[in-house]
Amino acid sequence: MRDKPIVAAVGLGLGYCLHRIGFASWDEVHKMFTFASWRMFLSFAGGVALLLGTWWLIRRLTDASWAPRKIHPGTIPGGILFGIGWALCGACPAIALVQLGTGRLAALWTLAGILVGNALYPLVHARLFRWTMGSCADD
Amino acid sequence: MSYWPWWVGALALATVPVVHWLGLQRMFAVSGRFTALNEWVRTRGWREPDEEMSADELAEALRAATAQLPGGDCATPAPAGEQPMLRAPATVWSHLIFFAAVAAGGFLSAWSAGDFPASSPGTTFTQIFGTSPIVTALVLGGGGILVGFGTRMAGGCTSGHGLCGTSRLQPGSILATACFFGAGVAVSFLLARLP
Repeated sequence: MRDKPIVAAVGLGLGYCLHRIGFASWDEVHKMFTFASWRMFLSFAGGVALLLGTWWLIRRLTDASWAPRKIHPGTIPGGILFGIGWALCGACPAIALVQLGTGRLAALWTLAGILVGNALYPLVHARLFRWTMGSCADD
Repeated sequence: MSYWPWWVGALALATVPVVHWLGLQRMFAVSGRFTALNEWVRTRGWREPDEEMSADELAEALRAATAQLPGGDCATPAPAGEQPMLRAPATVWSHLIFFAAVAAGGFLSAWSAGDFPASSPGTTFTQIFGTSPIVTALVLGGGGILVGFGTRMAGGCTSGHGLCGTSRLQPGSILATACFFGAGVAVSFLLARLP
């Protein structure tokens, strides 16, 4: 019960920030990927750099621990497929929601695709693959 | 539309996962929430959406599930001092609230910036793919399928792998992030040659 206001606040902040940075714009994402503009790459890299220091501090000051994210057989092909999809639709999972919030109704196609693709994977995995599926909900 | 300078964006992207961790004791991740939602739909009736497991219930459920695996009945719990910290999983309502809040955040930003409603995917998108609603649906929907499939295959997306994983120097996240950024760059350069 206590979690829900925090979840809502984080979601609100994320949506607001992603739009203000430019991640909700297909054109801005395209500029980022074609190096026409370094602004969003620098935002992302800067965010990672700041987090590097923050997690280090958190581990020094608390007993925080988290599960390792190892390389598994799905890491490379999954990453590549995700990148191709991101370049085509201009969205990663959260951004499709942000786009919807900004009134881009075409993002419904993106969102539907994400849900379908996510649902398809375990079916394909069960038939073809034998490795353990990770999840970013594992931490 | 005037966007934030890169350093403000960096601060914002770093703040969200930290607030998430401090408030929920859980690493920030988005694609995992889509997975959890799909799994709940697939196994609907497994749990009511507003029930939350306590750590003891979760431990018991894990032991029961493990016992059903080949060799799982040999598993014995580790001594109390060595057991990993168990957290109850987020509920479906938590995921739905998160998704709604993300969209609301996008709305708030667009509306306050005078950018609401944004209609077309973008000028460059239109130059490359045209204005046909069918082509738009195919490109966005097809791209979305690859995003949903690929993030689940890789075990994360820009939040879980890109922001949180790479900043914790996790090998799987660094490799996944390099792959999706690399693929995004390659495909975008190809798209730029189309018009």
